[in-house]
Amino acid sequence: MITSMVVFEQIMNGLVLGCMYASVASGLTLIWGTMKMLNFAHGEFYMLGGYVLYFALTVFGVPPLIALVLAVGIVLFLGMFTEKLVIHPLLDRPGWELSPLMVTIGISIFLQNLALRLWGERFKNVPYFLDGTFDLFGIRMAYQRLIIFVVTASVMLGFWAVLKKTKFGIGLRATAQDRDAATLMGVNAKKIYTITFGISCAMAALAAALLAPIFSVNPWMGHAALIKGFITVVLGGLGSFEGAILGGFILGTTESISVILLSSEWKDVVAFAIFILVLIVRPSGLFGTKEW
Amino acid sequence: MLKLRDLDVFYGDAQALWDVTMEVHKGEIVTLLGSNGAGKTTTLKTISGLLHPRKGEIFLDHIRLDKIEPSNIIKYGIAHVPEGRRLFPNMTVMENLLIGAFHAGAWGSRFDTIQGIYTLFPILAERKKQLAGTLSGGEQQMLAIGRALMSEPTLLMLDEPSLGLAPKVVETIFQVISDINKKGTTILLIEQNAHLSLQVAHRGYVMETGRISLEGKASELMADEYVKKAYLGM
Repeated sequence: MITSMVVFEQIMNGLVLGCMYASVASGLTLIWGTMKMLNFAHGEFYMLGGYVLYFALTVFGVPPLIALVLAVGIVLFLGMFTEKLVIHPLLDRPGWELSPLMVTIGISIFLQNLALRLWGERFKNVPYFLDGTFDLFGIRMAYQRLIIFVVTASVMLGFWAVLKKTKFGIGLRATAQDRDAATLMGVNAKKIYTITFGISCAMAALAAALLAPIFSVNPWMGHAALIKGFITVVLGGLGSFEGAILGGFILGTTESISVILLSSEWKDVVAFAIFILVLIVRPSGLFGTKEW
Repeated sequence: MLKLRDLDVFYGDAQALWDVTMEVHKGEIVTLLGSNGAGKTTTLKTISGLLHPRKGEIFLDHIRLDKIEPSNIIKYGIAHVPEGRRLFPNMTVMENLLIGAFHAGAWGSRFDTIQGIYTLFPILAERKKQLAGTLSGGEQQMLAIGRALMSEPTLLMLDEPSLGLAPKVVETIFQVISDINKKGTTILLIEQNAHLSLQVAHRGYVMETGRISLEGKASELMADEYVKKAYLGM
């Protein structure tokens, strides 16, 4: 029987899932908006975030907060390093529409197999950051889910403020809108690209690290995240930051609610159906393809 | 202050400039005349580092400009108002101005400089919260000039500031250009409207198919039979 309690609970679960989608998708949309490229290795940076957290938490036994910072920080650095190493040389060369695509697919395969080789195919379980539950309008919620929601929401809000208010944010948006004009203003577009790529990867890592206690960590975890991330981005409108966040929550909640109405095997079907429906009505996504 | 010596510039394999040599002295307004595709915009883009010369040198006083990263050129006091204005359409008027002061030397005093720009173009103060893409053509040109001035340049380069504007607005813009110059900023001006630009300029160069074909004082060029026929329509 479907009670309002069950529906409410599923909406809460959907919001938590939505946080993950929003966080993964905003990284993808950020790169698309600034660099006009798709990053097919995004899922693998997500996976690396999960592994860093796992090792920090279970092998080195550091507190969850520090493990989280480590996961985000290390992947930020790895993202910047990767951009410098393989994306940078492709800039300003012919074939930019395709070359980053090929290169990031390569990185994705490399990282997946590296993880498999180094850490094995076993799923790694990660303990909850904080055990226990609390009552919300008569519904029991695990603290972990609250942490996911609060941390993601504040990071998104924080990043939005960075985009709008800081010198770096103004430089980033200017580069996204017109790279040559931004260069004339003294914005070093290449530096912006490196940092942007790093931040994008770090956002994926944040999502993975927060969700690791719920989903566990494995070498292939990035695959599903990437697909859902792309759906979210296209749903919200490629390049739109607001769209990525809204798209994430729409996708998360509809998936969760579909679990009550149908069964859990149907949730991807529902997600894709919504995706296709939205694209029929609004081919460029909810917010439209946007430049900042 | 600015010297271009024997520049050859290419787009891929296609050569756009041949042996371009010109000079801009401190305090001058120098205009670069020529028809569409003559290489005027290419010349400005090469000075601001968006294009690299395959041969030749660019000097600003004693600094070799063509070896400097394009995003650092503005630090040496060269601001470029590009062809078609190239504003950031989804940013507000104020944000567009602020980014003009992006380089370290100008960022600290950005809020003082912006007041100066608002005095120069009061309409920009009225519209400061509006998105740049929603401004009229004349307002956009004012914003483009204002944005360049935010970097506190010593040399201001303008690419076709009159393009697509009503005569009345063009008059205002040229008045401002001349005022900016009187306050001590050197100006390099590209114009198709030779009448106007020779009126405000001290000296001029005429460019044809990627080469400098004539140079001289503005008054001399205005009296030149060839310039009269080809560019002044007389």
